[in-house]
Amino acid sequence: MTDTKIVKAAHPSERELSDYLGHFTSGDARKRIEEHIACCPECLTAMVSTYEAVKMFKEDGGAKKGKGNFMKKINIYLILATISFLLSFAVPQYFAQFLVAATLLGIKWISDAKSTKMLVMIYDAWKRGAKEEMSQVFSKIESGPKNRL
Amino acid sequence: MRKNRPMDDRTLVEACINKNLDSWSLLISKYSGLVNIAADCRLKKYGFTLPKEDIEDLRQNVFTAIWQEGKLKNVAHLDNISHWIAMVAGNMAINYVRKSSNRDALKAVPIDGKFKGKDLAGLLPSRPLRAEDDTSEAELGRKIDSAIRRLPCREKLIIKLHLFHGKKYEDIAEILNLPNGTVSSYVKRAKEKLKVALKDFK
Repeated sequence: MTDTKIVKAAHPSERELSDYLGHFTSGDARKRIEEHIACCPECLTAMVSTYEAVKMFKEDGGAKKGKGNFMKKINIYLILATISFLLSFAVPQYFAQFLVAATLLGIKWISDAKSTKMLVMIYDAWKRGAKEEMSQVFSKIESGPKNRL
Repeated sequence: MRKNRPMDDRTLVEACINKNLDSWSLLISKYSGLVNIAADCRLKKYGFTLPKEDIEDLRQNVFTAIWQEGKLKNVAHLDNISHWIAMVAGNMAINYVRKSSNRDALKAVPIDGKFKGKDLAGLLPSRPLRAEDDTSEAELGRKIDSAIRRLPCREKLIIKLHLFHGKKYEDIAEILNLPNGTVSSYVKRAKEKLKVALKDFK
């Protein structure tokens, strides 16, 4: 098969290329993918950049670090909000101040935990079983950040 | 779910496929960094970078798409989720840039015009232009392409990874799941063939 014909043949899917990188592919499937990426600059670039990204991520201890930082962020604001709320009852003369602080910290926690917010919206729409609402939720998520411009 | 025992990827992904929101939250927190890195790596190959806000948008789009389209069900090997997520993120980054209408690089600027407030002529590198330089460079490029195209599949792939993507033998061995020694012999063989093909070029 000539190079042009190989490239014009269907590009391997995301699953096939990632399985190849994970060394789960063998035999004819492996040969077919290698023949394709040898002639297709786009797929070869996809392969190389994916390999580099995963290598960088693992070298940074990315998965563990990401989780740790994320949980830390959530917990600090949530803990401070809870403490402020409890203090508002424990120290009645500063009830209003602690309540305001608890409210602000709670808002900070919710706004920072973007994934939590997204999950709540998705779960709410999914629970009501409304496909239309789901697409509205997603379009809201997609259109929301652009308003910053 | 026991919080103090870290969940392996297989269990995590299976729980996400079953729409468990706790697991979904864990997946997002675990792999958000990878999505950022993968998008950045892929775009840099094409000379693009995205500002921080766009990376945030892209990351949301990636996880939203994975959730909405039930893409996790397509993953054959649940232990290999990191390669798959990085591949998806990279592809979506490319699509994101293609769809975006705010790329300055895509707008044509006349040679006597301005780019970001500066005269374009002053920004371009100056060197004496000789027609024969351009022709011989293009000719060399064509000869190299032609010589590489004639190589057998595996040699072609390895030499491209080595010369065009700057990969070391260990990286090539890792990507293609071959021993280091095999990779170095392929590279040597391919270089010999390229030397022969280019020996008449002056």
